[in-house]
Amino acid sequence: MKGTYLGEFEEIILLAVAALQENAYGLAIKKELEEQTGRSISLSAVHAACNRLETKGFLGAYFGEKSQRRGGKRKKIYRLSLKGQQALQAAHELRQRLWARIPPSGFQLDWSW
Amino acid sequence: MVKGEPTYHDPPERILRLLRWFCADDFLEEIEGDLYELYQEEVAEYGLPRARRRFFFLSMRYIRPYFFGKKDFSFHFIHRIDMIRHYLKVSFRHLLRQKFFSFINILGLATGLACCLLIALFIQHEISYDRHYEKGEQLYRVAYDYSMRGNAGSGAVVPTPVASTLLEEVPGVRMTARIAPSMSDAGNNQFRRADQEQNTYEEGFVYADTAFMEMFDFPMIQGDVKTALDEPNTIVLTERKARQYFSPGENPIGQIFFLNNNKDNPYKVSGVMKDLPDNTHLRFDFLLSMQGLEESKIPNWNFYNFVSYALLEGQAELTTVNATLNKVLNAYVNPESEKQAALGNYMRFYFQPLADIHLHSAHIREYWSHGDVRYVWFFGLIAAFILLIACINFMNLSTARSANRAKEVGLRKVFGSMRQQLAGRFLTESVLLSVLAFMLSIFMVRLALPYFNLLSGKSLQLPWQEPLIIGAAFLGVIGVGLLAGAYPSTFLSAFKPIQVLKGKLRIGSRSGRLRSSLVVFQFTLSIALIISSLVVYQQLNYIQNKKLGFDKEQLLIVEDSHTLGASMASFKETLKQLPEVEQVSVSSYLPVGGYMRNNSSAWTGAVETKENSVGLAKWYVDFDYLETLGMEIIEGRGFSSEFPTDSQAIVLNEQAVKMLKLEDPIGKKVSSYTYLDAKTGKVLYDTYTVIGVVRDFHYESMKVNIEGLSLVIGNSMVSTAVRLRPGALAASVEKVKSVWEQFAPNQSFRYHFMDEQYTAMYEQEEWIGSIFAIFTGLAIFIACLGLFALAAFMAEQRQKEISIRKVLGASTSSILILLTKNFLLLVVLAIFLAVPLAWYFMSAWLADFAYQIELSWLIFVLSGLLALVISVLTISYQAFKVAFTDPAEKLRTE
Repeated sequence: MKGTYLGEFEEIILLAVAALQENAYGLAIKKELEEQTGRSISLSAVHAACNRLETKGFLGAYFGEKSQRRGGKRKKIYRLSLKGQQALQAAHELRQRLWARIPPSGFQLDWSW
Repeated sequence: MVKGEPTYHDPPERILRLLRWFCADDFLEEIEGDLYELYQEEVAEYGLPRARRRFFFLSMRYIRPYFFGKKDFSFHFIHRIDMIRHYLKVSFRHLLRQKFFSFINILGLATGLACCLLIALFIQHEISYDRHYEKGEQLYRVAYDYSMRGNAGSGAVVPTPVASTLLEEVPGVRMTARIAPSMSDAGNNQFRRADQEQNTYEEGFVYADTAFMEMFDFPMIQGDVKTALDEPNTIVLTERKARQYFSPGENPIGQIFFLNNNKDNPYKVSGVMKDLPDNTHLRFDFLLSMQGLEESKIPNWNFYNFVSYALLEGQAELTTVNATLNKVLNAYVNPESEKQAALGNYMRFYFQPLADIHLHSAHIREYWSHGDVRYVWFFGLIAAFILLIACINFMNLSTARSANRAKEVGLRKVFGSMRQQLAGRFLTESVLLSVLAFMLSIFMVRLALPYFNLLSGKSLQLPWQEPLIIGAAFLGVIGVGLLAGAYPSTFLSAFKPIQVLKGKLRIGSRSGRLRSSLVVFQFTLSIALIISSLVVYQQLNYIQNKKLGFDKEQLLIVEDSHTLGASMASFKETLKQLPEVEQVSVSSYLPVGGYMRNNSSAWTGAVETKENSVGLAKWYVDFDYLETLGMEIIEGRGFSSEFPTDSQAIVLNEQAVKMLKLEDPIGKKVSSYTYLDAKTGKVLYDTYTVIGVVRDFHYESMKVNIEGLSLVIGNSMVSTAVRLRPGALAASVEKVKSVWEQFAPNQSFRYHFMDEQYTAMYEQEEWIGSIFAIFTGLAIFIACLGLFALAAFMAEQRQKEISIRKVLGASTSSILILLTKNFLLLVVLAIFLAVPLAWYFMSAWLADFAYQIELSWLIFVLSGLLALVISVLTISYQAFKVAFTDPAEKLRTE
């Protein structure tokens, strides 16, 4: 993918990671997204997306402590990287610019056709 | 449970293992951890089973290329089908372009497979014997081994009361039954319906206890399996015999039959059973009720005439039952068993499982002949050999022609083909080849099966209706393809592209040594087979022509003469009057397999003691017996009607004299048992005077030694032996026939020639000999196909070299030697390897015969020469072709 363009799913994942802070690991992200969007989101999709974003540099990650609750495995906790923050910012600004471009009558429905 | 320390549920290990297998390690910790955590929540929410299911589906969602990481699964999942299609296409093209080699490959492999299929069918039939009875697992036959006074052997024919004793005294025995296949009315008879005149000669009458039919649970068409044989003088027919004697509308039940015109002893049909299948050791068409047989009711422990079967309880332990059985029976049969054991004498009774009877009874003497497990092994081995030879052909041709393929391999590698893909490409080719060969071989088997059946006397069929067997055969064929292609594919796929494309690879020579050793291996097997079949042929020939001690030529045997009854004597006299007839003798005892036998103890003193008694065959003959059969008296004289005392005379053979330890036998007294008094159950005996000694003659198969034999005058009239004068045989037989019809107008004239009967004794050896010879021929054929193709290839490769040699002045003969020398060396080496191998196996086979040929070096030399000649002929065609080509033709292009 070129530049800093984000897909919709990528964007909301980045946002969720930002929102969850220290608790931003796969399962928590999935739950957060399900809660907020109301749709069902598969864990594997979250994992794939997070890892992709990590390789692209939008996310950083570190491993937490081992826990019994996870069968002795560590949490992989994601953090927004600088590049990720910029990308989110850019996406947000883009949207705002575009919103600003809509004339006041823009949302009126035209029934004439 | 301690609070604050919740238990965790482990997700299914197998799914985790799967996940770990396909998922790249980088992702595993995160995924596993999250899945584990989620699983805990889901167990709490949905319960264990549903959580497990969900866990499975959740894990499966990770099957996507992203998570595979660097493992490249695309090769496995996506390109496979396309690649196989491509391989097939290339393989087909290749086969079509190399028509000659493809043809030889397919023909060789198909011949090998056809042999294998035939033998597999045969083996499958042999091991299917007696496995279809519902209670077959619990059915046993009583058999025994014995060693008594120097006589040892095994038997399955036991005394009268064995069956009833077992039922009463051996725990674990649920049911017993006897059959008697050769006494009184059992065996073969003239047979007719009471309301018809014409007799038909029928074989396969057997007396059976009521329980016999129930034990084997024969499927009935009419009548009740449990009660059909309850009453005396009832008879059960098989379906085919019922069809023969009754028209479709008639009801057989209640109909009356006569045996041998005996109207005093009519039999009433009480049931019709389905025909016995081919693959059972039982052989009969008529079951007679044992109730009518007086002898069967007298408990006589010396009356060995019954085959006894037992049905054991399901949980009975065979070894303990056998121990009890042996103890119980020995108490009756061999009461002083402990004392006898000290002298080396013993009787050992045991239960033989039904399924073992057909293949594991070769050593047991009984009424019905059986297969032999050794022949099953033997044929299996031959099949394996032939298949191996065919596979080696394939390997040799593929590797030899590797030069032609080297460029293909190099190019494919340059274009990124992986080694396993290349191997797959060559394996596809060999599998394709073997599938084609398989189809051809099925066609071959269809053509050959009738002849095979004719030879073996079986009725085998291709099992089309059993998809399992066909499927297994097909899988086997693919296996053969993989086996044959294994070496070439690894060999070819290992080529280094740079070397190949630069042309540095030495043509076909890299695997030269291996190829040579494979050729040696092939020819070792083939030559060993040639030697073996020559030995078999010689031994059979030896048996056929060995001096028997009597004259089997020009001897006509007229059967069923006992049915003539009172007119017997005048029948004999009338025959004697014929100018074509030299001498006539009436006796049931003839010195060839299939006639009556009778054994009795004989002793020289006043009373029989354990020390003086020996077992002798005792035959009842008439005055003209010795003369008619052409036996030689070496001491004393033969029987003569001029001596009235001859009714109490006895003639012994040399062996019997030796066994009785008679120094000067003539005039000595010898006693032996005569017959059983039905009223008292006592065995009576007579004392005879020895008047002569007859030279030992063979009266059983050559597989056994000549045993002691005694001849006495008596009435036994089943067969009439007619010694014909030399002359037109057919006309003489016609004359005898007309006399027979004069005396027995309603009875078919049945006759044999003694020499044919004699040959029939070796039927099994005979057909095994022929089959063996045929398979040997095929093996050498396949091996030569391979050699031929190899020679063709070598000749083609060396065209240029030969042409240059010719230009430089080489003679044709030196070129021929050059081309054949290497191959012939291999064959010579194979001869030296094959000789000890064949020698070993053939001595083992010959050990079976009491009278055997010497393994002479001539056979080995002959086989070696034969192999050499065949291979020279094979190679020289190619060699000549090359040696005579005009060198200019081949060199013109340079």
